[in-house]
Amino acid sequence: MDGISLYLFKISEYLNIVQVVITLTFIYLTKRKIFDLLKGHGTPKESVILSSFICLFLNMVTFPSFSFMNEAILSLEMPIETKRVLHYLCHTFSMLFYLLLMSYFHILYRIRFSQYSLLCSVLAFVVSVLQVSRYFDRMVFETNQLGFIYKVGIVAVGIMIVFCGFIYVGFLAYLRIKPLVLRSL
Amino acid sequence: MQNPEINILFIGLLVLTVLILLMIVRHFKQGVSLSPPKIRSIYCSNQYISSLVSLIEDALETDQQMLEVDLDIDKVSEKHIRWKNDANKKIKEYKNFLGNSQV
Repeated sequence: MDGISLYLFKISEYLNIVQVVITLTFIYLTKRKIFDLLKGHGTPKESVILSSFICLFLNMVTFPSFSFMNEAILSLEMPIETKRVLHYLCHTFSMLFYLLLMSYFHILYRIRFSQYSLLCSVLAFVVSVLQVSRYFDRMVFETNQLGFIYKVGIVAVGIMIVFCGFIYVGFLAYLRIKPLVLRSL
Repeated sequence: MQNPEINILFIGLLVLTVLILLMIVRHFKQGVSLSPPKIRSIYCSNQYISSLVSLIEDALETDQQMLEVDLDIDKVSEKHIRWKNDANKKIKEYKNFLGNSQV
């Protein structure tokens, strides 16, 4: 590991914490109770708020659980080949499950996808495609060519999801605080 | 390079995946477009900037929805009008100040 990939891995260690901070900031800015948001109160007037909340909340809950799942697979007493197969399959299906949950909530509350949740869904799909291609590359064809793309790609997608959330919530915070700032000029 | 044929197959598969993804993104964007077509046509050339701009649009729409559905609509609108008037006043003062200093 060198250069960019080392920096990416160092940043990725703090992603879960940043994601939690972003989600909590968003909930604070909405000034609504978390249970009201989870129950889908206020639809369809608040479609974008709810859609973004669902996406941020799912990110906050699922991504740390994926890293726990990774550690659990590593700690299993199995041959290394079985562990690898289990790792790729579990990650692919967990990402597809994330997409399923996202679309389930959107259908349940009858809301359209916001741009942020759409972006996260596409990136989750990219991750699942990366996992499947790496599985075929390493386990089926045994070419082992996608190692670098896989390593950097997974981390880069994680960083991009959090970075986009930061931009979205940051700009929202600016819009919400803007009147106060302008009044004090 | 262990097996060149399989490597070419992989590259082909990757290119195909990227193309399919781009098609999906384009399809969704047409369906869930939030901005006026002019802005979309300007930024559609660069996907990355386009996605960032769409995030900012998203934030704008969220803010709008929050304002609309906030507890007391009258209070919010009063606040908003006052803030807008104040802001306009400040901008005028600032412009006057700039004009005077330039003279």
